[in-house]
Amino acid sequence: MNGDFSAVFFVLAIVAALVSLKVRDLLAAAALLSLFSFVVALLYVSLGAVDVGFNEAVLGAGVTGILLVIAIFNTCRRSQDRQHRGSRGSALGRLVAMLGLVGVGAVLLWAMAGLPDFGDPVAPAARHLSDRMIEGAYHDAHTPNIVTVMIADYRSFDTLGEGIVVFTAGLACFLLLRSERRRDEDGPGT
Amino acid sequence: MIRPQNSVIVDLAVRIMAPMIQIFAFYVIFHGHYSPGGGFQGGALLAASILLQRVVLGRRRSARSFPPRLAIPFGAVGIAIFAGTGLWPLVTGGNVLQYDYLPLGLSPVFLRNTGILLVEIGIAFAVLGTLVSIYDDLSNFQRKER
Repeated sequence: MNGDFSAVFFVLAIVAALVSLKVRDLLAAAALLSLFSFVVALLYVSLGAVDVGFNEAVLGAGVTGILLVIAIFNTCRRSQDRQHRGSRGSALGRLVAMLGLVGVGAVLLWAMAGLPDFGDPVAPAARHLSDRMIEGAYHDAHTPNIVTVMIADYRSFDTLGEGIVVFTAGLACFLLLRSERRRDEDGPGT
Repeated sequence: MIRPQNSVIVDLAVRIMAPMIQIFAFYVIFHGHYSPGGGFQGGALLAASILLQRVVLGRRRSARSFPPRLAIPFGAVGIAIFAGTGLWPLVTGGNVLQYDYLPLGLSPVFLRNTGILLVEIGIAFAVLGTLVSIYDDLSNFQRKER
């Protein structure tokens, strides 16, 4: 089941991403990005990472979409890519960039061939700590959801850092945008 | 600028849906030990319900359910709960975030269980406050006329 559906999800996600790059109406692009996030969430769920899929569905498909829409309402609804087409560089530059992209993609694909298979029990990442965490999670904290034990107990220091990063992002928005507003209210002379 | 909706259907749908999303968010936070979810997802759901009200009901009516000036304090309180749960064991002789040293009088296993719950609540507060604050800042922002 996983194989069939994840192929469909991959195709949908790639199509949504490409169309969102091409479309002129930025509101449509925001909706397509929400679709992309939702398909990626389904992909996570089909890989067994339900917690990550949940997060991606709420944050990626829901909240980020709203934030993008708000940003569009405050700026401009139409994409203005066309006006900058002349400044994109010469044909030679574009050819070099294209070759570089293809080269990097080929190197990445080549490196991917050396990675272990999905769910490989003898993969290096699954050999050292994973066993101990999977076996000890219920015994240590009486919590059936291993992911919760992982992020809030074994790796809680990482999670504390993540929380501080999220809050810092909110503070940065607060400081940047609110101070801007106050300067506007002072009048055009300042 | 975004104006409040005039459609009765959308208005009523949001007023019915928002409390349900919030109840589900609390379920996600407190049931995170047993099912997918946890503080981050629950906090994001709470924030999503608030943003839904902000978008549809408009600023003035939605401020009654969550005043904009509370957003940043919520985030700070969340981080304080998390960091406090982390630093408390230092006082009683443990390491940072070593939940079995929390002085709550439970067996070590259930102390770890409780510590996870406290941390999840802290994350939920932080995510809720941060997301609502970012939305408020973005939607309040007035474009400079050129």
